[in-house]
Amino acid sequence: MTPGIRKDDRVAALDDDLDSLVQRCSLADKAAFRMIYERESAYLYGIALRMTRQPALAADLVHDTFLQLWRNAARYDSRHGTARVWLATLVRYRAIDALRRTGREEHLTESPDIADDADDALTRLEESDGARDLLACLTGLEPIQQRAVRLAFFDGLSHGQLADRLQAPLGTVKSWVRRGLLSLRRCLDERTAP
Amino acid sequence: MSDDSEFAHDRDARAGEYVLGLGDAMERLAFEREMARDAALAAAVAEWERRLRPWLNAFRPMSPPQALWERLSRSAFGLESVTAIPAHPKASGRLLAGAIGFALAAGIAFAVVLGQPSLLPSTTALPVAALLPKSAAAPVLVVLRDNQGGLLIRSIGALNAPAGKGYELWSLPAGATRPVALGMLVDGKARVQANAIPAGRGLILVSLEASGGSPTGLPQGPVLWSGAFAGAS
Repeated sequence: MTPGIRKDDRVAALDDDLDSLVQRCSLADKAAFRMIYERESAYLYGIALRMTRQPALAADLVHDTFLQLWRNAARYDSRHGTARVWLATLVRYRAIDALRRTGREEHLTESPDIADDADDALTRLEESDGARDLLACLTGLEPIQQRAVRLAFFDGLSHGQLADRLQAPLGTVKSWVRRGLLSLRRCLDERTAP
Repeated sequence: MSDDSEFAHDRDARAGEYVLGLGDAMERLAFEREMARDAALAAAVAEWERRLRPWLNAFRPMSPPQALWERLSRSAFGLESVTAIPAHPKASGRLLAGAIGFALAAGIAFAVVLGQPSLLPSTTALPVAALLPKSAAAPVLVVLRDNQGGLLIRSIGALNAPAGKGYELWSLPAGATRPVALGMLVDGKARVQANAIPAGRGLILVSLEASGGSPTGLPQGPVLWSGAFAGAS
């Protein structure tokens, strides 16, 4: 008779530190790579799909991001944030680059509820750790600044696409974003100052 | 305000715009080249990434396509898929060697996971194979050899079959055309007696069957896990 595996122990085992798994990838540890995929692929695919609205392209981006991880795991530096943030940032930048290469006007017409989606994302933001300051500062912006910044971050819109989306001149939109960013920075720095 | 301050102000705003992703392809490329030469600009980007980091948690996870892992493993490891069941049961030597290599690598890692005393069976069990799921959402099954020569199968993560269904374990020796039933997984666990383990190399499979197992003695449902295995020769 063998003793059972307790669920808590399983969870603890699965919650192996992602950073150390990435370090194991740098030693060509395939099992570590597989474990990272199982843990993080849905998160990364969610980012890629949300931004591109194209399942095949989103899958390509996740594939390329994981391949980058496998080949360049040694470049990961934990001083610049957790491995999860690193991967999320990689896939988000890849999504932006892909959108700039391919354009996304067709997706805008297919997704009239895009602004609602941004609100949905913010609802989840309220539930996430460490997000209170950012949310408080975001809600302190003028509504149009807030909307422009949100659409850029969550939906990958460029300046030009924002101008189309918000039906405003390009220069005006650039000004909204820039003033919004600087207000956000000022607010965040004040809230996080010692 | 000094020019320096205005310059820093502009640099910071441009860094924020880059992190948001507002530029077109050429602007982004030009910015990245500038960032590679300008440490202060790179630091400003890093600061914006830090400030906006909580937003990365606001994206909703979505299941990627099931075939993505297979594609990725081919790209990363240069193998044919290590999770796919070969179309012909005579697995090619290259596939089998690759799969065994993966299983051994996985086994070493799972030895770390399973090395915690509370996770180890009371016997001294060594991981000998990993059964990889066809679905990325399903847990990996690890195969350990106990000190009586039997095999222990353990799920790394909770594993419950759908109502009225069960997971059945099979061996498929290299060269064989019909799998041999090894028993049912119960709560993600199973033990195979030493005398039931096939000799030589082959595959271990897990299929979805009726709760009591396949009534025909052959898999009736889909094979959901597979892995290479080397028994006593």
